[in-house]
Amino acid sequence: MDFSTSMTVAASGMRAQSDRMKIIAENIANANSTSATATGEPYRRQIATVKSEFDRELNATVVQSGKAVDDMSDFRLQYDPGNPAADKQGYVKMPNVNSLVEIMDMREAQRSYEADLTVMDASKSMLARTVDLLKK
Amino acid sequence: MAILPAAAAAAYQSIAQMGAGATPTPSVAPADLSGAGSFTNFLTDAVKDSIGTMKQGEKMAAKQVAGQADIVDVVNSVNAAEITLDTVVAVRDKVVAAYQSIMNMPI
Repeated sequence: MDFSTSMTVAASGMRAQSDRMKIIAENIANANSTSATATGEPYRRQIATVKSEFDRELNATVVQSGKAVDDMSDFRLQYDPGNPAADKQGYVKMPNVNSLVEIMDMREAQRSYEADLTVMDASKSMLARTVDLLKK
Repeated sequence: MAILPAAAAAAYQSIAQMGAGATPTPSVAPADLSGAGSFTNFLTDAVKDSIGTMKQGEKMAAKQVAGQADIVDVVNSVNAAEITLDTVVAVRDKVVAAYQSIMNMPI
């Protein structure tokens, strides 16, 4: 049935957004994760990717979350000589996570998820109204 | 007019014997149940399909409880099961109503 297809497509979008939320949560949670040694690297920010994919069985284009890629931008340097991860000059490499950016990403994922929910709700009510015709 | 139970039983028995005596004549067989496109077939397929959908919904719910399934998949399956059940119930009501209106026809 067509409506169940649209519901499945909306569900794929919701799944992709929840995967994206997972990445964002990882970024926010690790915003202060430094390396244990001076030579090591701190947490590197991940970027969630989504890709469209044609589902032959469903005969529709669904969304799939792709592999998260590393954000290769520079790490922040913070002066903290007492830290075991500090280099000779006393600077510690902090993760390249910007919490403002993460919050904006989170909002976007939230809105996207809500849009998918609305699609699901609408297609379900359309289908239910059609079945109601049978009941008279 | 009062009908004695014994008389009714006797009448039933005599009819049953009549049927047993006339074995060569084909009994009232439903016409070609296996034929593709028959209404019975359609109903059977629809019911089987809906049972499959319901079972899928149940399975996903059980998986979710066990922590193995995504909540979105559960919602999708249970939604599909709900709609299917709704449709089957509506069709059954229609069929029963049609049957009843035939049975209520004055002969």
